[in-house]
Amino acid sequence: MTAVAPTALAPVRQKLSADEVLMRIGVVLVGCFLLLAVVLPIWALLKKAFEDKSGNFVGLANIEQFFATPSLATSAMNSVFIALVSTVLCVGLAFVYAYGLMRTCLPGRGFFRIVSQIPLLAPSLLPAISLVYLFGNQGFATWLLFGHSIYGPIGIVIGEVFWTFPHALIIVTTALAIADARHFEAAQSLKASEWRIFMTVTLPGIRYGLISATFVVFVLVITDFGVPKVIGEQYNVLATDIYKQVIGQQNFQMGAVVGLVLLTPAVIAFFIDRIAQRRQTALLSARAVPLIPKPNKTVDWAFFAICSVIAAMIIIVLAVAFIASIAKFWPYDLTPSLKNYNFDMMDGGGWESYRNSLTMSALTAVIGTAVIFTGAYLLEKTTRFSAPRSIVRFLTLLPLAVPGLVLGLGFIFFFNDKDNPLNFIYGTMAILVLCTIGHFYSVAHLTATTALKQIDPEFETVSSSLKVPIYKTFLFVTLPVCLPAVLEIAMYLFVNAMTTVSAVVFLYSPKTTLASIAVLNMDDAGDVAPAAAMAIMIFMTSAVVRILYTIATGSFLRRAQAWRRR
Amino acid sequence: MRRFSTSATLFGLALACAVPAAAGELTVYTALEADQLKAYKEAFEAANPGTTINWVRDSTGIVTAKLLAEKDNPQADVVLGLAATSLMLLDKEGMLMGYEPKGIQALTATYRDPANPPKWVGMDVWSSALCFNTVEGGKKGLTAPQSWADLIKPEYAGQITMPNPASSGTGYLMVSAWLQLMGEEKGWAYMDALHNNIAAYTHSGSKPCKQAAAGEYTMGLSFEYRANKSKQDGAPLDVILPSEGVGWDMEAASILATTKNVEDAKKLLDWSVSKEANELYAKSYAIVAMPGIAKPLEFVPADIEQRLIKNDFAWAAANRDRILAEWSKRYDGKSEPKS
Amino acid sequence: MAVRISATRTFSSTCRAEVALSRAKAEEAKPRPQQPYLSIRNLTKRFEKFAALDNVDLDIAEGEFVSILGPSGCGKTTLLRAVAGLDVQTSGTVHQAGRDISNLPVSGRDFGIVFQSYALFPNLTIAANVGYGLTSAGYKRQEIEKRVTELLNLVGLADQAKKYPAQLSGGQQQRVALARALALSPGLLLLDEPLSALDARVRARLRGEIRDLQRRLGITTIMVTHDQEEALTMSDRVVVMSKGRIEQIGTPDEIYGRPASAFVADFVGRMNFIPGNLLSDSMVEVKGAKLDFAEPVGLGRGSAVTVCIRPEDVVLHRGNGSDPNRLDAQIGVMEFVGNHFSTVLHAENTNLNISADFSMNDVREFGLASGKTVPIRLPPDRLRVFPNPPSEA
Ligand SMILES: Nc1ncnc2c1ncn2[C@@H]1O[C@H](COP(=O)(O)OP(=O)(O)O)[C@@H](O)[C@H]1O
Ligand SMILES: [Mg+2]
Repeated sequence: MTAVAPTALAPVRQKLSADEVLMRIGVVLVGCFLLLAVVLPIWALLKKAFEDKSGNFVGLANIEQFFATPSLATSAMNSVFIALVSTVLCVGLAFVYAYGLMRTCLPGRGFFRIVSQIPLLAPSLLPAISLVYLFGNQGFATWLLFGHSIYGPIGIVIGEVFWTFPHALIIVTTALAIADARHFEAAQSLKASEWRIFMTVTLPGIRYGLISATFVVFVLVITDFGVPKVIGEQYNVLATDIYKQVIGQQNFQMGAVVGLVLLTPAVIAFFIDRIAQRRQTALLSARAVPLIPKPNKTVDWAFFAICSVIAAMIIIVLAVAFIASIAKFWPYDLTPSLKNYNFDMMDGGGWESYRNSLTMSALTAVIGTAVIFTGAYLLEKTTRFSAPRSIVRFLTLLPLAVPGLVLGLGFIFFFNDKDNPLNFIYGTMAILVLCTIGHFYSVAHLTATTALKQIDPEFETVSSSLKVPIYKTFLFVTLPVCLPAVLEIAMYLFVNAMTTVSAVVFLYSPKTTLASIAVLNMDDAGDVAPAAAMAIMIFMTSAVVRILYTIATGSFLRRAQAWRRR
Repeated sequence: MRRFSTSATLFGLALACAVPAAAGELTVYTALEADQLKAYKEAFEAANPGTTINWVRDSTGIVTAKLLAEKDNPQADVVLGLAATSLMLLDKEGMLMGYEPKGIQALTATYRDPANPPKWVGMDVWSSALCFNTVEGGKKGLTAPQSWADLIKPEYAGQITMPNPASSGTGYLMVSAWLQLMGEEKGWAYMDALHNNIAAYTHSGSKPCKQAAAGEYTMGLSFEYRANKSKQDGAPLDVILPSEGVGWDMEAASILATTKNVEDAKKLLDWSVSKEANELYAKSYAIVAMPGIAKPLEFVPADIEQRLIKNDFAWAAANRDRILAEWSKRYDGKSEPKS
Repeated sequence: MAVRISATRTFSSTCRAEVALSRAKAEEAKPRPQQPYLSIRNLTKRFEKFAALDNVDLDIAEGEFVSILGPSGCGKTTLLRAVAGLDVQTSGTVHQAGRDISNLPVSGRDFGIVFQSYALFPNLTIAANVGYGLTSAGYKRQEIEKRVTELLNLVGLADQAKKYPAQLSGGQQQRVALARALALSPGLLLLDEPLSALDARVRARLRGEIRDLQRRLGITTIMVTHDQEEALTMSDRVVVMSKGRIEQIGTPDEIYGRPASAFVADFVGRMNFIPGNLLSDSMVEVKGAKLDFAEPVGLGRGSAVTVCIRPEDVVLHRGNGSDPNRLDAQIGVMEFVGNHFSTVLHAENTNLNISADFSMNDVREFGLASGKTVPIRLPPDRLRVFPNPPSEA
């Protein structure tokens, strides 16, 4: 024992097993992937914002020029205005709708839930196009605007509220879901009025959810490009300016500055959202009793009425796009016809772009799910190696703070550089897939992490004590057990790849035109009905994928019932 | 393991997608209308088996800006169907290759670059035209304008759309025509007045006519091919060539000096001056580079060639930057929607 | 590695063979009996500044069943995880069967482990769970099937092979986890609170079963538990821990009967704690009573100490001699607790109150009743005297 003592005090460094070496390599690879798909492009964009046309550092000159250009400054004001108004409206509506779903016994809850998700399945261009048909100069409800024009702020706000609605709804619904029934019972036993309970229990309980939703929506709106592009006309906002600067004038430096300006609120919102979410989860004590709403005829029917109106609006917007797409010549000849689906005679790449979108979405779903789920697994399960892991973990969340438009721009700057050895992927399907995975990485990663946290943490320990290599356990246990989450990630990536416009609008090439971009280009060329038709194609494809997902998950759960009973 | 295979797939994919354009493939930048591209591609590829065209299509202004921006690392082999004024700008940057296509002698002499060998060759002429929706006009009690001067009448306030000249070649040829017709000072004053009647400046040159066709706005300033096509599609339109004369530009073709595929590029230029190609142009345009081919368009006045203004291309090209900057300063971004 | 039952041998399915094997195993180890199977030296584990394990030394003999007992957070799991290589120690060494395993990764060590949660693979059948390690080790299918059947027989679950974990009761799952951990015939079995997720009756039954199995296989076993009853009934030796340190190592008897510290005395079983002062090496003054005690503590006169005696060690004094530590005490409220009475006695002419347990027989024989005064005795060899910890003095 005395012989052992001196060495015994020396710090012990554990030898690495083959598994650990492999996993560390994996973590590093995931880090490299994120570096490539997010960090370096953003870095390229930041650098560009401080350079002149020939690449010399010019400090704040570009930024000064931005603020000195009256049209850009106006756009900035417009952007903030639109984002504020849309956010207030959207979060307000989402709150009422969510309240109806979670805290009342309104009939048709399942139906309302499904309808609320519709906007997620279409590009943001779709509501804008519908609004043209609804409230444009030839719209059938134009009189509702009392002489105001849908082109400009009104149209942008309505369109933005439409497509950000489900995003806000999900957050607020989650916040409402974790209420503790005991608080309400306590308040009721103290004879507090309904209103008082609402103000002192309900609202404080979801305040972080509301904060989170507010910032998420604000950023989505201020960085959205589809709606103002279609319906904004002369009402300029930053998101369309960035496009004009970059595509219209090929002024990359100014584009980078606008990108920087858009990045700022997104980054702020990112941090506030993080804090809010942490606080929100902290509100939920482990012993919370779930709140089960009690029927109350008046309240239930009142919310049924309100939710019906909101749901009807969503359905109308979708229906109008569909009707417009099958009308022969709006508004003069409304006989049904598939003429508008003859995309090959239009701008935007024709049916080829639809096929490209399918390819791109499928590749994004397959590769993205593999990378993201494996990455989440590695980050969860790699032992020690904590500094690299926390760096990579931070990188997985970074995309949340980067608007698609900014990421896409960063991609041009980074990959279209002649000196970049990866320059060859510029203009290919690969860059679209890479960018889309990067763009939607975080949410998918969080889904994977949540699923992984729910399974027993000792699977890996058990398997290494049984001398089974870790990848076998990953393949034969972890993956099957997490299959619902894996399917959800794949579905999420597919649908978003189908509908995204903002990041890829800078990156497509003639061989890789995409359906969502075709919607944009056809609308740009004045082919509004074919644009609506393509948007409907995107919607239907996403809807089918979502339905397939639901069926697959359902059958999986049924098959796996035997071992999933917890 | 899984991770490796994943990234391997990714890189494999990247490689697969990134094989440099094989010989026999041409990347062609164009501002032609989408509905023309298919026919041109088919005709050329039928005549030149083994050579295929990959179009990069956008509005004139954007294609021009893109070409200029890519000056150090050009992606295009050929430009086909871009405004001559734009090609002249590129020429000034030394980006174009001189080449005399086989059969160029058959073209009208003025419809090509005077240099020898020419840096660009003309294909057809496109000119501005006004689309007036008779149904909407009737509803609002508006009569169709007959001249540029008519357009600034107060009753047309909020009824007109026109293309943004910064992005659209059609827009630029109108602005350039007004300045040439009226002189700089009066020209800008005219546009100031017109601005009050404009509901929207569109990104593309076709959209104003398509919007007029759909009745979204009563009239749109566009170009004759689009006007003719929309009317053919059944829109209740009058196609009007304003009486003072219409602006025009030439669609032209050129080889980029940096192309690595000179042989195929030359084939495309040869095709572009051929009779067959000119017959295709003639389906869309009333005036084409090869004399005797053009046929009057169904709904466009047959005497259109006489109504073209005397256009100083050199001036239009040389002053393009300045005019667009001035235009943007005056009308871009500050205007609220009018209606 | 001669000691370890090699993975290639076939597992006997009869109990007798098991015993024979474990005996054989023990014999093989004989040539060096002085060497412990597992030897832990100076083991320290820090999380930041906080020492979860503080210089722990522990030897475990081959075939021994050792429990690590202590309150929640005292470092039991940390110790187990260090032995397993899951959370390697900050410093210190671990030797297993003479081999230094201090810095080996988990997969380089030789143990089977059972967690509180069992960590059964939910998507695999019971048979697949048990055979998980075997499949990977490259056995033939028939061999695996045979071995899995043996193991399931061993834990009495042969008829459940085709089911999924969620279809079994907690106790059955626990046994599956045990079978899986034993599949590769590891030299060391680690159990982390293996029974704490089960209800009391199942727990009591499984205690016996696990202990039985361990004896039959002769496998060296470390079990972590916070349940003293579990530790005392199952183990050959118990290690009591507190705040990252070992308080006492001993047989269950020693731990219960001769706790080495006030902490152990308090943690294991019920105990009277009475503050007092040393009068001499064998006498202490507590609340006005003078008591003899047997075991010297080696402290100076007048030192503040704590005197401990278990309630069941308080006895009724028979006869009338003037034995040491005889007191007259008044009986307080009598509480019937199942098989005996529990009460508080007040020693007359002192401030001394002592909890005491009396059997039903005593109560009947002496007619014990609340308020009555009876002679009692505190046997000197049952009194434990501990120095007061400096902070509490
Ligand atoms: N990963 C860790 N980081 C920081 N502190 C830890 C960690 N794991 C355990 N601890 C601390 O070490 C102490 C001992 O933990 P543990 O061994 O799990 O106790 P137990 O005896 O209940 O099994 C506890 O105070 C615990 O909070
Ligand atoms: Mg523990």
